[in-house]
Amino acid sequence: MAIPIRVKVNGQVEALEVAPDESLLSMLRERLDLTGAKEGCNEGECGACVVLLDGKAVNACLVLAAEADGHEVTTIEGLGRPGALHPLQKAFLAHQAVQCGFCTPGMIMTALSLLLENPAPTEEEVRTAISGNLCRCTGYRQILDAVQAAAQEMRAGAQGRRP
Amino acid sequence: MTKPKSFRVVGKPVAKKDAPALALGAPLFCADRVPPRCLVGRILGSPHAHARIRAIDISAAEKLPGVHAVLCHTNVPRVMRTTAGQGAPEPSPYDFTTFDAKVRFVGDRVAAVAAETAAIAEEALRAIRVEYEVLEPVLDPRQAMKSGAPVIHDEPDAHAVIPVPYEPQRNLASHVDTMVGEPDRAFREADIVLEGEFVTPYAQHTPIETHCCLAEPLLDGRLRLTTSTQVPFHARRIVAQALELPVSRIHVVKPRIGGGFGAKQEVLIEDVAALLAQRSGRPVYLELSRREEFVSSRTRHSMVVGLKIGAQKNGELAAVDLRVLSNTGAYGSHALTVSCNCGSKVLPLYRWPHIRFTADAVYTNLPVAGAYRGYGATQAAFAMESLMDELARRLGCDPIELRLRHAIRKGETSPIFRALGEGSEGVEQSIGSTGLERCLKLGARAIGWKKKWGNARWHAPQGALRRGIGMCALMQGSSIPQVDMGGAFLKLNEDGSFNLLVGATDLGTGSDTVLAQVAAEVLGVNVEQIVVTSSDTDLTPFDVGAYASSTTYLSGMAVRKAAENAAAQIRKVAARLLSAKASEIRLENGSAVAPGGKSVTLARVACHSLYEHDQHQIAGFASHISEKSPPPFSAHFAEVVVDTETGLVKVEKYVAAVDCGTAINPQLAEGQTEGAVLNGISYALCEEYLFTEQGRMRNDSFREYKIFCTRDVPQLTTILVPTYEPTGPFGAKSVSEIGINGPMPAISNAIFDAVGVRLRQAPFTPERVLEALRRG
Amino acid sequence: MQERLDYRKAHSVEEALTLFQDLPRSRYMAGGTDLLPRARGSGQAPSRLVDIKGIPELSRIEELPSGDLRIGAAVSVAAVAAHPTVRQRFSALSLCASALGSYPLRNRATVVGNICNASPCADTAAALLCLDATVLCVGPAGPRRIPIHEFFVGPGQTSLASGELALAVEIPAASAGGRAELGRLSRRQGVDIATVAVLLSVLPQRSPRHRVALLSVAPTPRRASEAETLLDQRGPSAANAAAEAAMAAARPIDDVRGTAAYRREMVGVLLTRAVRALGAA
Repeated sequence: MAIPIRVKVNGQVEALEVAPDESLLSMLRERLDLTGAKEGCNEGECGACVVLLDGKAVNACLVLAAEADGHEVTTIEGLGRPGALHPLQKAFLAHQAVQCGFCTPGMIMTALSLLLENPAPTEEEVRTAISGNLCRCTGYRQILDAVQAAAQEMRAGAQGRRP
Repeated sequence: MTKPKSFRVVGKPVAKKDAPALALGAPLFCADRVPPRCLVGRILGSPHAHARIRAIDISAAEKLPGVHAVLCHTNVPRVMRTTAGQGAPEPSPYDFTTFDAKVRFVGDRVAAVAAETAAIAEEALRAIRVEYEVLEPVLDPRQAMKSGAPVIHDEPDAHAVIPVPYEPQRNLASHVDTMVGEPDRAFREADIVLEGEFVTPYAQHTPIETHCCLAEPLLDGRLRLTTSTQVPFHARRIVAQALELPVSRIHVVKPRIGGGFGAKQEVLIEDVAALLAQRSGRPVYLELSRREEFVSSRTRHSMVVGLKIGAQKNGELAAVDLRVLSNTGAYGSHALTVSCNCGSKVLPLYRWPHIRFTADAVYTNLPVAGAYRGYGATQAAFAMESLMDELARRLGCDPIELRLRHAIRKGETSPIFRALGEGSEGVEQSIGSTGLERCLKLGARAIGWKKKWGNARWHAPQGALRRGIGMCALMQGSSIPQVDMGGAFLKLNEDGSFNLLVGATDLGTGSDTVLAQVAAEVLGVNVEQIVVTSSDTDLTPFDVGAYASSTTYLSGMAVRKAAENAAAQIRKVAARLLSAKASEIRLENGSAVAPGGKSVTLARVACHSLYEHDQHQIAGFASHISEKSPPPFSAHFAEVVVDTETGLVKVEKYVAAVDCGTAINPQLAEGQTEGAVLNGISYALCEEYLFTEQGRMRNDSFREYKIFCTRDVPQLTTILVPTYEPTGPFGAKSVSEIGINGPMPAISNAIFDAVGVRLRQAPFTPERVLEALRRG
Repeated sequence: MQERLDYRKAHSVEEALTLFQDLPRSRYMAGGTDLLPRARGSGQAPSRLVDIKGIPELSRIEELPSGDLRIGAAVSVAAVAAHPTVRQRFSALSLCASALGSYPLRNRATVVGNICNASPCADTAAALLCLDATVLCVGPAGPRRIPIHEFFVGPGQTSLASGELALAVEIPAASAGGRAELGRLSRRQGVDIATVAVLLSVLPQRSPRHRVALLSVAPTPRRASEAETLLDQRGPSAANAAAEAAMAAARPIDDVRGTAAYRREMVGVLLTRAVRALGAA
């Protein structure tokens, strides 16, 4: 039994018919070809699938596609473009915070949610916010550095000056 | 090769080539490339640890609408082989076939299906009727070796393909012993003999991307496998072997892969995906669930490492006896070579005059062990570095001093290098570079060793909390000498750019970037001018793949040689254009420069060679095989706080100083080190498979098998200590594995320093620590 | 998850109740963070999920004229943890809500959902037990109020009748203004179920003033009332006796996260520490 939904994804309204047991993650990956959010565990424990739902980080594997009806979803694909990267993406490159890159989209979206809520987080707050995003490659230091650098950049950007 | 005065590209923190696309979430991984209407593959795992399949009925599954292929032992040819992605003939026993009439661990393969949707595939699995004759399982390696124990590989066709001891009727997957000098006499004559048994658990790599493979039948009848692998060429060979096809019928492509750490040095699901695609004539995507990744992929060999060391009162080392009992699980993948590595990557670190090394790898009805970062050195270093710490305390000397005094030095060799290879004799080598002394000194300074070690005030208890500091020294290798081979091909384009084609496999480590840096350094261009294509069995030269810490050192040398080859051709053409001698032309800033300063761009050289005169493709090709496996060296330092009431160990500071020769890309080398260190800390404190008495894993999810997260990261300092390894590209050695070996001994030593008890069984969970404190 | 699952979004409480009654094995869903993975993993998936997040009155945190705080069943754990009133007046709840799961998970999971799952380790249950919360629910038989100490029946079991929907949880004004200390041990330092946890809360306007809640040491989250009485009578000097009493109140089991013996012992350690921490504050 298909459920008709309307969901705004990366600024564009999509009218879809989804299955009742379909996760938001499957919907994004399989119906909309937005494969930036990854499946790492399918039970909300790894964070690779994090997207923003109404501006807040959620595990897309723990949200049903049908639940997204009438809501707004932002994925990593909605963040930057080649040559016009988001400050978080830039900072991840500058700090070599991308190793295999599988956790990167989820990590960046979680960090974005935090910075939208709290533009000047302490290191402890960053650590807490991204503690549900597992990375086996980096040891996290480069990622933590990148998020702090991006926060600074975004604050400076918000104030209309470059640091 | 001699050390150049300075580098232009090497040693610089060049941005990772694939990072922008990865940060944008571009569809670069296997799962992102599944075509529309692709079939979904699923594997039926065994519910029993040990059973014979009396009967299997797949007819109901086959009849389900939407099911396109069902595989099991009755309809798939039996080809004995190994899943270990190693050079052929493999040192791992041929004890595996795609589907067998016997299952040997919970999660072992019984059947597989391809269907139009995941739901249909799962329904098809439920429709397969299997009648098992349940056999007694054996879960403990010591029990498995006893006479009368159930025989796990009783099939007559299990065999070793190289001449090594292999006794499946005793559940023995491999046996190694080697002796140098007269250890028994030396122990008798030693003033101090220390002994201990060190237990390390089953653990998993947990790449965040599980194993996955897309198999597609091509129009010319070939099969293309897009697969998350560290070993694309071995994958091609092994799939061809399993399907009884020539390798020319298989095309393996490695996309970006979401971490491997050794787990993907295993040709684990490609055979099934390929067979399903072959039978159905449709593309099939097969991916392990996280639970399957835990239960049915590969793990670290759980070991009991018995170590005895002897020394004289004056601190001279007398003898060492290392006895390894390795649990290889249901199949012998990497059983022999991981055991060998316990000796070959740990014993040469100190100058032992008398040595005995024995290692048994034993079958049990538990999940299958395999390659995992560190590869046996992790387990043995725990034992060695713990006992060295004890020895230092017994001798009343600083543990750093003890290491400085006895560590192998430049120009020296160890009898172990020759004695211990991979199932055969090893390769003699002398140490061409070591920065261990500087690692020890710089690491000690960074952690504040002098202020803390032996300082009662620093150690003063704060309530239930006790502080401690510990350290260890480490070595690994760089490639398997005289075995591993990498090839590289490089061609010049009209705009002065190059295509670099390498078989080497970037599993997230950044090797594409590192190899581009090597090429760019030789050719005098920017990294942007090097377009890298890697790990495509149709397009790129052969490479053994990403394992044994080989890529930078070995494949990097192939790239350097190929680039030098191309450079020579460029100089020849430029010589004509510049009316200069080829031998005098330098390549820099994208140009060929003659002694007087007159220059010509590489674009001009390319166009000249392609269109104007004596037309030819300027292209360099080289293979490289190493005669040596130069060890990287490292010193690790841990500062811990032990809560004596809860048993909780918190690592507050951690310093890893590593000599990886020239760090081609220092940021990436730091990233490798920090990733390995945190993985090691997580393994030391937290990670462990738990099993029921029937051999079922009890914590087969990220909910119950915890790997460390950001909140667990200590203050982490990485120090790269440059040395110059003459046999490596621009002086480079390896860096990827060594870092994981340190945390277990360094933390254990720090715990001892804090509370005076030795933790010899990992992980050091709060309960174990508390129990140890009670035992005293 | 089986494909025949049905998903319905309710827009009113009445609609939710009706949708639930329509099919056997229906489940109400708030955040879904526990429900969905469990439904995927198990053979006995629900046949219908009735999503209650579209019911406006369940999505609010309200301070009632009485000073009581009402938290709707669809309010996320993150919203509760960050709510100024919760932080100022009911800090125990803020503390426990912050300890639950990961940040993305807290954005989705709800406090009422957390207690309805009735896991012995439900973090927010510890706070609600200490704060004498009441669960507001409505079912085919009409509305009722269940005191939180009667709410948990066993692992995964509550006193909600079949079809009964928890609408909100209410915290009485009299529980405001206290201080709280959470001792929580887990295998890693973030995003992990508690191996054992002890919440000590001191509520100036209540009797007993000391509240001790235990997680992961009994079939349900529970209070340790003897320990509370001891602390009320003798203050911080009763720490050791209270620890003994709390340990005696624990009914732990061995599981993958820890042994019963360790858990019981840690109840004592954590309570002693909490008493010390609050005493010193």
